[in-house]
Amino acid sequence: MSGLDWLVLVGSQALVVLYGVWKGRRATTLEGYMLSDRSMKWHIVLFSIMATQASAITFISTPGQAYVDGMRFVQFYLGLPVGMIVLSVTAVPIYHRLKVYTAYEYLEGRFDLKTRALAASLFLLQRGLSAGLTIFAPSLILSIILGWDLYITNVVMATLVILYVATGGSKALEKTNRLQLGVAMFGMITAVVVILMKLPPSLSLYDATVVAGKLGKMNAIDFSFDWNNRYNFWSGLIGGLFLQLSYFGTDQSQVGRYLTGSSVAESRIGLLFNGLLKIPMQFFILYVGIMVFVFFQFVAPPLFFNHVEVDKIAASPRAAEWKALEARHEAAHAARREKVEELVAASGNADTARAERAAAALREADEAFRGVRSDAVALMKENDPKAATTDTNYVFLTFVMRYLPSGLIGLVISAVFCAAMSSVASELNALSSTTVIDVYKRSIRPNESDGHYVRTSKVATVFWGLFALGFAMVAHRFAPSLIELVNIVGSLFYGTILGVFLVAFYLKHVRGTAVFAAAIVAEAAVVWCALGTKIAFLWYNVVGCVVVIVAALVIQAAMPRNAARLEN
Amino acid sequence: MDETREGRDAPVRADEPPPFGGSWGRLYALVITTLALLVAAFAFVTRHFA
Repeated sequence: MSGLDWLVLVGSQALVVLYGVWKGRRATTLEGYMLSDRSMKWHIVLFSIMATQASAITFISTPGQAYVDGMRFVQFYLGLPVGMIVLSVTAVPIYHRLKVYTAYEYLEGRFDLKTRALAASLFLLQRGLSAGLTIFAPSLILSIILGWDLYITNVVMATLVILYVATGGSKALEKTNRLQLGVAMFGMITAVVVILMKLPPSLSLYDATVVAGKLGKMNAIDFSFDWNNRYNFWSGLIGGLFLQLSYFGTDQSQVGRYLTGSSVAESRIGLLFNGLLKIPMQFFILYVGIMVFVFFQFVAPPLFFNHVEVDKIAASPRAAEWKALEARHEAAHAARREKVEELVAASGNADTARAERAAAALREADEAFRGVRSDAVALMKENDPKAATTDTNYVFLTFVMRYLPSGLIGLVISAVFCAAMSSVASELNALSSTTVIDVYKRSIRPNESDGHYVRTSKVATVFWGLFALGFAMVAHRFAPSLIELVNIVGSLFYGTILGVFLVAFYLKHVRGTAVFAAAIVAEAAVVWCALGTKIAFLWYNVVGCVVVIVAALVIQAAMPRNAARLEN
Repeated sequence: MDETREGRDAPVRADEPPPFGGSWGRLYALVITTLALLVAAFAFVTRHFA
């Protein structure tokens, strides 16, 4: 990175952190520290929700996902708008009416302490580890692409977040989230403008999309039903709906964001606008990846995007074979580029038969090109069975580092930092709130002053920040499948927790013991799905939720009437 | 513009009308219609560029 890049990166990050510390300096009450005095307008709620959900991986990996797998990942979000409506009707008025600080607080009033403790514990466990991964994942990628030290990158990122979240709590992160989302989106828009400028002048945006489409990348919708297909219309709409309901309805890192709304209406509008904007935003980020893909039809991409793995094999006894593959790769790229140009020329006239022939020839050339890459991956695996042979996460930043001008590189890296920090900040705030409200204030020191709880919340924020940092430091031992794993681990718990909340909202006759037992049965069913079947992970959310509801009804019906009455 | 407003002691009104759009039903319909249009647009894009 050049001096200008460093100036942009350090300057923008310093601005964000100082702004957060400044805005949050007056948080002296517990409600002010945890929920910004429940005083936010809908657009602040909206930006905060969006910034919390969009982590660094959203901006780094999603374009790479499109580069490799096309647009189909957009279907993951199809259930989100429906989920936003369901939560606006159900959860938002209930949480506001009860003036709860955390979602789990509600469960004690509705069921009992053990159900509240179970849900809060599952959240603390899952989100604590997840916060570590939110720090680790971008640090790993930045350390590989930029040659930075992984541990120092982890420490810098975690320290900056702890600094302003511990100081200013919810208000600091609400204000910085907006700024961070703005920087992240500005970075992506700038990147796509540069990509378009770097494509051949004769190639229109439409032509670029035609090229991507003919190579199978514009696969935004697949209506076929398949339990084992990770992303299609049905898994996105149904499985995704359950996942989003659970994430936004029961995960404190999101519940805490919209509870800052000054009224039911402000929180609802924030959620509904998220339902309107999220899918177009994801489509845009995926489309950035598609444009990178088209760019690399004209400029030879590296044989493999993770240069640490390339350096390893280049220094191994198999170096000569790798060199030969690189030569084949270059030739295959040149052949494919010729076919791309033929397709573009054919698309420009009315001869559809010629265009179809050109598309078929291009697909053949692309297959040969991908064959060389498969051979390269196989060679890397033979050379080192532990080699990281997935390079999706490195595609976009490799492009950024090689082809973006000085200054803009710093902007995009700053966007990555902003996205990571906004997610971690919300996670730390939620972990701190749950620790203090659901554990400390409920069971350890119930009658202390507001000032005492604010100080305890600050300590809890620092504790969870250090916990996340500690996990980020050792997380590389589990890589490279870790990022995918975190989504799967989330789906292991989300359905069950959602089921507990749905029973609480809608099945008024079901009591605490029945739902607690049902949650354990559901969790066992989800673990069985994960270990004993090939069902795609989005469906775990449906299984967990449905099993809780059905089992709770059955257990409640089977319970002796006296026992049920005693619970009432 | 002041982005916050004092809401701490305000009564909670679940039936409070939205600040714009007329009614909640209309806003929910807008979200669903937008989703349907996006799915239709994605289907068109998938088919047209395949």
